Amino acid sequence: MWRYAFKRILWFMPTLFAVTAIGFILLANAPGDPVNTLSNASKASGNIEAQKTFWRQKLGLNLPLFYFSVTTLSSPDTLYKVYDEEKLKVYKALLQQTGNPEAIHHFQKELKNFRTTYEFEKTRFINSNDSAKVWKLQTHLNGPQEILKQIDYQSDLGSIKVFINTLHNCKAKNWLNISSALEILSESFDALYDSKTAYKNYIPKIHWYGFQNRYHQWLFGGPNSKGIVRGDFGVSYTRNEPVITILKEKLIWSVFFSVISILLAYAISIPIGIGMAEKPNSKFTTLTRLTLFILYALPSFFVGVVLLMLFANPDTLPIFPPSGIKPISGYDDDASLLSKFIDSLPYMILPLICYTYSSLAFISRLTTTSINEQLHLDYIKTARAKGLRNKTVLWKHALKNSALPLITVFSSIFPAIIGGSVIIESIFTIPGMGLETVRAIMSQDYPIVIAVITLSSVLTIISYLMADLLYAWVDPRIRTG
Amino acid sequence: MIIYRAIKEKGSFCFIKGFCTFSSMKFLLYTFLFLALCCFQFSCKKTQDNTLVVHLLSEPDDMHPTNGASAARAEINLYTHLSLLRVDYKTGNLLPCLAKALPVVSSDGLSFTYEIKDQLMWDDKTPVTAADLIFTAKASKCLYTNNPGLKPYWDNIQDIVPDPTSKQKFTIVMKRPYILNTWFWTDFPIIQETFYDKQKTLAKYTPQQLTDSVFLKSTTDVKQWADEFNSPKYYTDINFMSGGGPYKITKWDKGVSITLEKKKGHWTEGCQENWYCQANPDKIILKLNTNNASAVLELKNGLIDISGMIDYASFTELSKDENFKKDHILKLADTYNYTYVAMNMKPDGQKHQKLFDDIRVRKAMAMLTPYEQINKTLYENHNKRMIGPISPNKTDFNTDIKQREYDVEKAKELLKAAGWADTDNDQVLDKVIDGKKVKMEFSINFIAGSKVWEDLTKQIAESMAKANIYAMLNPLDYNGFFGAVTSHNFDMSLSAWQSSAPPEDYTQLWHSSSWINNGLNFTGFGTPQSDALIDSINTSVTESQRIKLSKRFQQIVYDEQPYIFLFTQTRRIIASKKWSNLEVYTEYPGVLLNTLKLKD
Repeated sequence: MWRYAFKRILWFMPTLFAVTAIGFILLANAPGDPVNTLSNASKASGNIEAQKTFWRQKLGLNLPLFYFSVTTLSSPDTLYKVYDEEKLKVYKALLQQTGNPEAIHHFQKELKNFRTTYEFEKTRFINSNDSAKVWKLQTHLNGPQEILKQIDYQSDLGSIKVFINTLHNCKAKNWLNISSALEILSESFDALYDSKTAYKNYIPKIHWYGFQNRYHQWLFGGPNSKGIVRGDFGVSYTRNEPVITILKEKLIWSVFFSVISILLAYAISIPIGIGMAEKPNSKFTTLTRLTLFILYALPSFFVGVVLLMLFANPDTLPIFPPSGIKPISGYDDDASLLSKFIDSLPYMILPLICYTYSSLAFISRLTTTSINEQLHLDYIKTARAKGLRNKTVLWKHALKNSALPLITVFSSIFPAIIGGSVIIESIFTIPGMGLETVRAIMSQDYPIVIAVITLSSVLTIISYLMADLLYAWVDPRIRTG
Repeated sequence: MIIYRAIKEKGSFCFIKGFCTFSSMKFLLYTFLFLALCCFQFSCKKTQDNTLVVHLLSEPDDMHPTNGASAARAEINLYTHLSLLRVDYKTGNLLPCLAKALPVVSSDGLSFTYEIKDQLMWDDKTPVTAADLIFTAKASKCLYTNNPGLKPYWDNIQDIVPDPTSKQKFTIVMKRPYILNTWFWTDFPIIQETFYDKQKTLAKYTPQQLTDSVFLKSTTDVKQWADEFNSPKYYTDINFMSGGGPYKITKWDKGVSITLEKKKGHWTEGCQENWYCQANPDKIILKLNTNNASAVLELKNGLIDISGMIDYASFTELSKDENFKKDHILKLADTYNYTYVAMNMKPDGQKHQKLFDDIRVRKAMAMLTPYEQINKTLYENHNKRMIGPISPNKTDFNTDIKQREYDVEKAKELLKAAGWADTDNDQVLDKVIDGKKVKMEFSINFIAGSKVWEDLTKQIAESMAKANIYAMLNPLDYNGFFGAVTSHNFDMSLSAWQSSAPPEDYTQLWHSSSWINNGLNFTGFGTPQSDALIDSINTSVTESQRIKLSKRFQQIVYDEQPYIFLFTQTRRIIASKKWSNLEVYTEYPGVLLNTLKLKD
């Protein structure tokens, strides 16, 4: 048995690495830039770019994502340094059309030079002419500025050509000395247009970045954390608290509700399932099955609100509190664990019902089917022939042999305890992982999101390991097989 | 009925054969009844005494005095911290708080000299001096402090000069004239130098040095100080939160509640003079509740004393409930916030067609918006119409502008005049633009997650269909939405702006530079004339001059119609009648909790 367990654990190591790496890469490529969210750049004026650069370096977001990248021959190795998503899209589109990064760089350099020349000339014109003249010509003088802006975000070569032609025809040329700079820009564009090396887009290239990458720092530590191998998930971008502290606070409630609800679901469903298997055509079976399937069909947000309206409403039965997990004034400072539990008990009932009810139909039906399969087998007939009590036959012999599907279900619902339930947590204001995860995703708080992904992976792996071991315990043939 | 009769006859659920012999069912039933009996007492555990329980919709991310950003934190800071200046909630004007009076302004309009009141004390009984104000400004400006979103607002500070003759006086020198040069102090929490910088590290450096990355590389002590100042304990540990306000945070039960308690022996004790020094409730508990239905039940159960977060439908329902109204007051308060639909006036013509570059089309879109229907069905007629970029509650508001009404026929005429017609009889308007046939079909972007916004967008899209315009709904997450509008990758976008009492700086939303730099001018609005007007408003010396220019600017925006201006948002305040002195204000947060008094 130990050897079997050890073998399974060894298999899980590369799985964990793969899952976290994929999760990390997917997350880092999700739309949006956390630095923008942090710096609230949109509202900003002034020296915002310096701030963004500072924070990008501080958070290690200026590093390549992974140890290596798989790209094409045309793609530069430093693409990870382009932070503006729209500019990156434009660059990639141009690369796709031309396959010539050198020509693109040259064109963008000339575009920048032209912009500088234009700004310089415009300022010189404004300073050397009277304000009435400047005011009169403002629309014409600002014309190139808007065209340049359109070129910045234009990914189609044909359209860029149209905009450059528009620049050639703009009236600003009459007052500003920009013709030669514009000629150079046109030449660089023509070079880009004529020197396509599209075949480079079809030749794969692997580039090795080494250990100075974001994933490596996340695993083994860097300036912001000691790395997850040392149990440090870093600091939340938005809460500015160590991720592990946040997880501890939130996990305790999610795990509590999930574990209790799983135990309750099994404790209630297995007897019901056995009861239904025992008397398949009774009124009890029909009514219970109907009730359970109706419950199964009801969404949790609906059941949650109905429970609130029935049992937390002064107009009906104000038995339970409508929200929260503890009294408004909190626990007493010297309260024991038991007294805290008793204080919180009223707050737990309705959420627990919500967490549990939907599993009842599924698990009880599974139990009934599994038991039914066993009831026709010879060893059950033998047990009955030996005169064993029906209860003993069902609970001791049939149940153990029909446990495999129940273990499978357990292994699939157990990892969910880390995720919590957003809907139930939202209805009852439970400070659990569900709401925290959604908040973290919405605010691009990557350290929290990736920690949740990692913990979910670990828990999934543990649950599969437990399931494997339980299979082997219930049916030794699995082990030897 | 059958079940009811059976229960009545048999006194239990045992009318089903087997049900009661089944032990787990009995166990469940008795357990539930037992728990119900246990829990019946919960309602007796309501808060007593002079404790105000307030509904909080979302918890602050942190409570760092200067580095945080969430709205809930700003509200709590009103009671736990003091500012140099405050907003007078009744008039919307500036109110000196730590300052003795409004600043003395130099003739060039760039230097602002403040004098701080004499008798003010921190919690450790040391006096509040100019050094604390200077420290607050330097801490906010310092490159290493963790407040990147805030820094641009402090960018205009050139220097801060302490007065050599008085510890209570200092002068702020600004880089350029700006209408908000006084206002930027409003409600900004002032922090104690000796609490947050015991070594007085920042006092050694000038504001310029603290923002100079090259200079800072040559020092180590600023980095050390900033690392300490940015450390998590100042964000979340209540033992490391210190402010000059009449309340302090005594408990932060994460995800549950935040408790503020009145400081004993504080200099504000007994003060009723100004709102910021009052501390009538002994305790204020901000109780988190993320669900509207359960928040309503908490109000009904008396578990929450006051809420401004209940949705429109529930508010209307409760206002009709005579039983509820016996114990509660329901009040509506205007806000400076408004909703709008932005139109892309300068699309690239490739990814996004030139649908809204013609003013007639934009005006038609405004006429196709069913304002009354939206206000009635989604906002219970509580919201006011917006007609321009400034709230009707502000003195700058141009009353001469008439709102555009819903008029499908006029809208059709305008579209026809702009060259849009259904030439191929497919029920969608079309037009040849730049030699290419373009259909009047587009997406309306909005942030997913709000049912009200989804319904609002649907109503606009349905109304536009009446004029053969095909508008699709495009819900996006916040980052996707924001990325699309700032990069001008949209046709139409529904969103809202928050605003407050200070005079409007139109640069961010309406200056053409804000479009060029991918700022908040999503639409591409802006002409040299409007830009010049904005610049003039920002440097206007007198209020009357500013109002005059601002009104002219509103007229230009109205004429150009870059937005479909929808509604100002309304706060719905519900308070228990246990509390008196309830006044509601347009300025956030709408109610000043510290001024409420428990009735005898």
